[in-house]
Amino acid sequence: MRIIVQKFGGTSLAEPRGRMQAARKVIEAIHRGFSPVMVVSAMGRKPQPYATDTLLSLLEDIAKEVDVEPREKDLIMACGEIISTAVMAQLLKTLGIKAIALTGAQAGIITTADYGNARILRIDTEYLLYLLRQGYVPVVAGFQGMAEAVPPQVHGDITTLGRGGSDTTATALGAALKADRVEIYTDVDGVMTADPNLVNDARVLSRLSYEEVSEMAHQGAKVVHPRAIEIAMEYGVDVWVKNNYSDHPGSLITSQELLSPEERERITAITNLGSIAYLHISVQEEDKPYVEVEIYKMLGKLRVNAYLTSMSSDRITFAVTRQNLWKVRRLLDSVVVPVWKGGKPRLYLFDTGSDRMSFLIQREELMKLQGSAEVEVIPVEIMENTSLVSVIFSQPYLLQKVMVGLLSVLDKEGISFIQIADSHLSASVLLNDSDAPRAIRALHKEFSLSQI
Amino acid sequence: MVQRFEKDSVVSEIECRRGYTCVKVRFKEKSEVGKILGALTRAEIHFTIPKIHENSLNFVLPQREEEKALEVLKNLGYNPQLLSGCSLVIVYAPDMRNLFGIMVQILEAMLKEGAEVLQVGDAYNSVSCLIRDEKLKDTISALRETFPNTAIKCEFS
Repeated sequence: MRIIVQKFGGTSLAEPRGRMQAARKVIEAIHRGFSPVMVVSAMGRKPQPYATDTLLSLLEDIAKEVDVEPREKDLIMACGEIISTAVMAQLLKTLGIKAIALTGAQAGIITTADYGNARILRIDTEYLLYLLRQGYVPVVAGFQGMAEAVPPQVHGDITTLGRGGSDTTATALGAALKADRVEIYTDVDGVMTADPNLVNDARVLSRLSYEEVSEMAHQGAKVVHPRAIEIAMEYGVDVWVKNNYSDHPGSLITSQELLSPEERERITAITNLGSIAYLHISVQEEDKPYVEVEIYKMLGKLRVNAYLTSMSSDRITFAVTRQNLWKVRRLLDSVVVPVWKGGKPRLYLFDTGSDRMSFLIQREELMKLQGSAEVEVIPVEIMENTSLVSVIFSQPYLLQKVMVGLLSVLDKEGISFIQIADSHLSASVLLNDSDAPRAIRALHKEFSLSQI
Repeated sequence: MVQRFEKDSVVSEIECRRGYTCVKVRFKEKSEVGKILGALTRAEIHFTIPKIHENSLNFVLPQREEEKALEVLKNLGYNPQLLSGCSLVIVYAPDMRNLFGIMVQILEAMLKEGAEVLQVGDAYNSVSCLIRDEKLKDTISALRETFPNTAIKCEFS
């Protein structure tokens, strides 16, 4: 039996035409001699009626000030995918295909009990294999599983897998079922050298390594979720990214050893991670390590990730997503960091320039302590509209060459940058949002990615 | 049946590499950064963790390339500050950006041992910190306490 796992995202399933196309892809796979397992996401995006966020708002809208319990949140968030399974199974049946809709739990996906971000512990494949042997096409709900039952529970709770969950379901099923291949269907022809909305001559990469895709995904490319790629890499599953609406062969993501020498040593793509806020906080040199640790500790408690961190003797510098900026502002506005190393204690207050209610109240109160303590009011510099543009490459030794090429293009184009950064397979620059499209086009040209 | 399918999102390995130098080059204009890194690349010098500060470019290079780098930079008219005898400590996790508070755990371990972090670089799967060689042993012990049962890989050049 040659098993194929085919995953269809929400945008592919939102409209009847997309659903028919998806059904066609399944039927084509059967004609090619495969036994397909279909993995589906929820149909569409908010405000469409069965999108995950729309369903979630049914609970959230009951009382905005009351948080939804994670267990119930997972239960309702899992419904969108379940609806998709029933719809797609019914569609396949009307087209003469034996199909059966399955929740993640029914497909044997057992997870940890971390609601909202559960990890797959194991996949019991017996039932899926039985169905495949009987000639069924199992239509499995992506993004979900079931935690193990804790007595007196008879059945475990429904869990969701977090961001990129349906991609994760697909590659995990591919690995557990020892599938010949996993196909991820989307609305572009494959993994591209740049965002085709920004670069007219962006090309589809016919083959690329797990490592390249992982780097691209982490640096902002909207390709397969990195967690799904991690599983594919671990278990050696070939993943194809294809277009639901065309017959383009798509992109194969596989192990580096299977690529050609040219593919193994190349500049791969230009990516853009937008919506970044970049912050600088200057403090007294002797206190900086303590203030820094306190700030990062509080960010951790807020579940805000700081990145693009930079060390200097008296400046704390980091980036956060713009989505998290309000949390960081509120934190810095309300916090007082005391540093005491004998003598007068020093109290640090942070002025973010907005949302300053707590800051203003605290400053007034703390100023009364002047004399017995030193009160330091620190202005926080915030650059709100920045983007990280990255050049992705396939071998770490290419870093220096790429970094220099990247800076020379920006120089030629007269684009100023704020920071530079390197990673295992990428060289990046932080620049103003408004400069990002021009930089991406120039870099794509400079590195001849349209000839790839 | 496949057991324990997905890896946990935790620190997977700590690596230490000796034999690095921290370089600070003061510039007048940020646009000089490309010229500096370009000259180093042409001389086949392997810089890493480049960071731009208000008036300087800082980066890390293998100590064995220190002399060559100094010559290149002096030829360009710079008078760089070099700090030899440094070690890179790299903490790996497959999904670093979802491990909230990981940075503070690393910094606290270093601070506890009085190790000044001279340079830091973060990626989606690692955080690299440059410290002085003499603080390496204690820092590794502190990191082992913070992240028990993590594999430690040490490379001495």
